[in-house]
Amino acid sequence: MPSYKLSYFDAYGRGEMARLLFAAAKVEYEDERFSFEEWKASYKQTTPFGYCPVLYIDGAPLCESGAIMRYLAVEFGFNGANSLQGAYIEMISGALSDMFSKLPFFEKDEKLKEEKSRAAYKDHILPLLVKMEKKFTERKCDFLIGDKTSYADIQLMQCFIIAQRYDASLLTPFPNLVALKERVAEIDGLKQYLAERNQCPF
Amino acid sequence: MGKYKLTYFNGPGRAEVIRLLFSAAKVEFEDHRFGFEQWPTIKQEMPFNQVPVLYIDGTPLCESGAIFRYLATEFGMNGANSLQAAYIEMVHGVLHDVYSKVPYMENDAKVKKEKTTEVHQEHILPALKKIEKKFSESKRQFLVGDKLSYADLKLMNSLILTEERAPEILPQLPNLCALRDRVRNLDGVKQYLASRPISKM
Repeated sequence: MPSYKLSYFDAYGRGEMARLLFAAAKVEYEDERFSFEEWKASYKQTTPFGYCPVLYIDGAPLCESGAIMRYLAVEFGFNGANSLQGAYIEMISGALSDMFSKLPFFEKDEKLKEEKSRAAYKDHILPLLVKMEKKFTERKCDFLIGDKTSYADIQLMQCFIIAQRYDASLLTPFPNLVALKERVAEIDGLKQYLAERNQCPF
Repeated sequence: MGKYKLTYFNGPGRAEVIRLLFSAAKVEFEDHRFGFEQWPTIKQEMPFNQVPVLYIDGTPLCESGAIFRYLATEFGMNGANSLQAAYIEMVHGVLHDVYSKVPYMENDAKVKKEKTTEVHQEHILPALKKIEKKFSESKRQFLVGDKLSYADLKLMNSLILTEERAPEILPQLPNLCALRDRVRNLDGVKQYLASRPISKM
């Protein structure tokens, strides 16, 4: 097993999926976190393209959060049983990212932030979840794709944690997805990480 | 319907790497392109109200990344192992990030030209210089590993756009330009490039 170091802000953002995968796989890694000031002052210049997160695999840098997430998912067995399942997992992950990225993470005006958050849930996130709940219920399976935990299940869990923190009542129409989220949060390794991790605003 | 049908706007956007993969692999597909005026209707029919959508034996697969990574794997253009696949995704991702800053939808021609030049100077050229340096040091024929990947197709397509809109940066990227030319002359790719609609975006 190579040595791993993840380098990112002390935030969820584009780094948390990698941390969740390490936790679920119970694989050790160095969880390097820096502030925005530290990023600008020194870390940025050390990265391949001036972006983070960066995953160092035996010291060699890999960047782009999708590349990191999918690499770890494949290595740790969270990418389905074949390439078509891998495609559907990426599809769900992409759809969740597209919709949840519409949340106003950086809005400073509290009133505007609340309005924009409401709108993002109403116009984008909830319509997606309606479709997902329907398909998932019809499938009668314990996992979004295939017959084992994938990174799409883990990402759904993380998205639901964010949504529940905002307004848990929004998720009442999605009982099967909520039940999936609860199951994933109990996975050995993940459970401990979730209990211990820094609570970040985004 | 044949095995594969791709549905997208009549433009490159998020479908072009997909079309290039089919071309490079010489695999037939129905290249369904629609105009903007049809989008409101088509949008409602799409599983996540987005395009592109790839129908595989009638079953829809959405999200451009899921589509082109699936096809790349099927067609042997996703590296030889998971680490190479990760580097391919990384290079493609960087190219996508910097080229997506080009103001494709700007209607004012003068503003579009100015901003395109600015994006090339501030974002595209710095990224490409880093890739050029690593690539020329590696002395490889392809960006990652030793065979064509979708990162090479993305690079080729991106540099073709730069040829048209900001050619002044290209002399600094000789090895990437040589790669672009090798890929554009591949059987399958060559024919597709000669016949694809000219994009106004």
